[in-house]
Order: sequence, then C-alpha cells, then structure tokens
Amino acid sequence: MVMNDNNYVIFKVNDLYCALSCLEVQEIIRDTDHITPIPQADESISGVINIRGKIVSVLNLPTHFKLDFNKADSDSIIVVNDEDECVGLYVSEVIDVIDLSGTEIEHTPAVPHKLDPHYVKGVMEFNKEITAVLNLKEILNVESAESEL
Amino acid sequence: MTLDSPEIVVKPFGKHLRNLPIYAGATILGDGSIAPILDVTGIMNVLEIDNVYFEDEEITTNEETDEVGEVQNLLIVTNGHDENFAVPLSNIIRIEKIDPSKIENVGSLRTGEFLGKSTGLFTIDDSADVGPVDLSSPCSVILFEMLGRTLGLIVKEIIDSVKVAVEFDEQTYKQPGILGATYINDNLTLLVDLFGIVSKKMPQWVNENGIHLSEMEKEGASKVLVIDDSQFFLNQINSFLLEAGYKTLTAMNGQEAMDILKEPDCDVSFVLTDIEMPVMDGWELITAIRNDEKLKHIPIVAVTSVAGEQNVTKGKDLGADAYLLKLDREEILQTIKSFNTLEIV
Repeated sequence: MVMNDNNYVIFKVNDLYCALSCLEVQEIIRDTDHITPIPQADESISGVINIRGKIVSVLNLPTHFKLDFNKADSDSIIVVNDEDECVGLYVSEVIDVIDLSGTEIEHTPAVPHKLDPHYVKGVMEFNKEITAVLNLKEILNVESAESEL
Repeated sequence: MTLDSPEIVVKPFGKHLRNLPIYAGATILGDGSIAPILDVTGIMNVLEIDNVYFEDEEITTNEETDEVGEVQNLLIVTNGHDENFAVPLSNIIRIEKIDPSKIENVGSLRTGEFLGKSTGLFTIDDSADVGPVDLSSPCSVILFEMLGRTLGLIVKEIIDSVKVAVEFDEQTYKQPGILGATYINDNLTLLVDLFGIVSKKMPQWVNENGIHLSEMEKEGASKVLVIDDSQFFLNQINSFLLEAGYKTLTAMNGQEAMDILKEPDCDVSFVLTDIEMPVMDGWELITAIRNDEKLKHIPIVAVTSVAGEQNVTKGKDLGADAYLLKLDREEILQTIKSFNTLEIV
C-alpha cells in the first residue's frame, strides 16, 4: 500500500477508537515487555524504551486521557515524531491502517466521545465506530499537561 | 568496585522526563536494556540536603587530629612498595592495563598504545623521591588529559577508590610530583601532582601550551585574590599561580576577602574563590562582589572539589564567570589567562 496524506492508523485506547495520520507515525512496536519504568515520573509516563539506541519516552495514553489502564489489554506502542524527538504512545491495540480518501472527517467541537476535546481534531466513522482523529501536538504538549496539575 | 568498566554515554531524556532533576539521563547497556542515571546534585536539591555531606559516615576523616578537610574523591594506588599514593579521581578519564614489555622508550619519554593512539607515559618516581614502579609484571595505567594530550601514569596496583574529607600536610612531604600527604585508613598516603610530574619531565609542553605567562605578559598580569578555608588548597592554588607569573593575595573566607577588596588601594583584578567556607561562603561572596558598584566588574572564578551541573548553573546565575575543579591546575590557569589577555587588549 502506498502511504499518502490520507492514510490513518486506527487503534484502540481501551474501548475508544482513535486515529492518527500515518505522516505522524514513525513505527509501531508490539513489544511492551521492555519498558523501563522511571521512578518519580508523571503517572502518564510508563517509562522509556530503547529504539535503535535512542531513549524514547512512552506516554501511557489511557492514563493520559484519565481512563483506566489495564496492562493485560495493552499490546502496542505507536512511535510518533514530535519535533526533534520521538515519543511512544502506549495503546491498547492497533487495528488497521486505512486510506481515508473520500471519507469526511468532521471537525466538530461537540465530540461524542469520552476524550477531552483538546485532544481531538475531529471525528469520523470506521467500521461503524465513532473514531477520534487525535490532535497529536496537544497530546504531547508538556506545558498544557503541567498547567492542568 | 570494577575499575575496568567501560565508559558510558549519558543520553538525555525526552521532554516528558526532563522535568525530573534527579536524573542526568539514561544509558543503554550491552543487552539493550536502559539504565537511568541519577544526578547527585539534583537529588541533593530535591531533598534539600545541600552542604551537609560532611555528616556522611562513609567519609573517612582524619581521626588523629579530628580535622575535617575538604571532601575529595581519590584513587589509591601503589608502585609495588609500601608507599600509598592518591590520585584525584576528577583528573582520571580511564584506567587500562599494560604489559610492561609493550612500553616503548622514545628519547627520555615512555610511550604506550591506548585507544589506538601513542600515549606519553609517566611514573610517580619520574619526579618524586619514591620507590620506582615495579615493571616486572603487568601494571595499571591511569589515563588523564593534560596540556591538550591524553597521558598515562603507570602504577603497579590500584587499591581502592575512596571519598575522604582530609586536610593534606604539605610541609613534610611536598616535592615535585607530590602535593602533600595525609593518613587514609591508617596508611600514610601521598597526594600525586599529575601536573607537577608532567611539567618536570616535559617542561617544553608547558611552555608551548602557553598557560604560564611570558615575561612581557607578567608586566600587566592580574593580581589574583585566592580565597579558600583549607590551608592546603590555598597554598596549592597560590603557588601554582605564582609559578605561572601572577601576583596573588590570599584570604581564608568571604569576609576576609571583602575586607581586602574594600581597602582603598586594592588592586585585585581577579577573584578565585572556594564555595564551602565558614563565616561567609563563596555564594555570598560572589553576590556581595556583584552588588558592589566598585567591584562588580572583577572576573570571578569559583573553584570546588565537587562539581555538579546545578552548582555550575547556580554559580553562573550569581555572576561567577567560570566554575572549575580545584585540582585542575591547567583549566584554572587557562581561564585566568583568557581573562588576563582580554584585559591587556
């Protein structure tokens, strides 16, 4: 499949369907057994992983979204590019990569979703499930996370 | 402890973890796993235990006199005889083994190959009147950087690395290559002067490096005010500054220093101060100088036995121009020289 602007990675954070543009995703890692926890870190940081010699922080998306986190149900880390560094997003399950050409993303502020509207760019339908297209920049914004505390 | 452990590369954390002052970063181990690396100064700040390390029980103090000197990290070595020597750990970049048959003599200089490069090798007995290093079997080489080169000190055996708070006696034992002596774990231990050893054997390296002032430069040389509560370090720093061609004044704490600086005919043009001192410490002194209209232009270098990134930042924030290690003679001289040159221009 040729990647283009309209490709999206569809994944689940607990029972919520979420999507990120493939342009934002560097790779997907299925190994979640080698996360090194960092004591004293914020609770939404699961720890760090070694990706080809780079130390990458892993953000626990369920916890970050203030949802329950169940380790047994979480099997993937989506590695995204964030300016000049990489960050891993610990998610429940990666479902598919789809081409959304022709599908409409509704940029509606009234998100019928359990997520903080800041974290959502828009919503669409995937397999009849309401799927949130995530606002990566806002999710990775350290300052806004700190100001909430 | 293992002294043969390889060097590690500290990689910084990503932005989500950078707010944790207790970590310097992390390193990747041979099996690919990650080991977070603690930042001692950061932990001290978080726990607000700055300046209390004299109470650490593990620090050996000089029991005979109950004197507590400055905390030093030292590597204890021997030449294969009864004499014990101490090398400041801050000077050391790596420790290697060498088979003495691999040591080559080029003129009067011994050399050996380390990290793929030919490295000048020295022994303590090159300059000091001590037992010669036993070269009949494999030896250890302490690699250090000096005068723009990587150099090695050949010793027979590495005994231990210790953190001690002791005052060195420089009257009885001081000689080229030896700064002084103290008792560590009941053994008389001589503090090695790496710079002294190298400069005695290879004086041309010191000259070509230019950290000592030329006759012409001495004319306009700074008068340096040296402040340290340890008589040993005060003498140390004072003597190498004099040797390099500077004029000096000394004080034992910040208050004495301010008294000197406030004298009407004071011509001090450079301040080199310790941090940990009674009466008025280095931080207070730096602040006092920077807040005084007449004095605030004077360059200040803070010196300490224990460096930490936080302290470097604190020193710079308060207005110190540089923050250096006390026993790093080369770095101190180079820094003062750079300010001295600026002034002449």
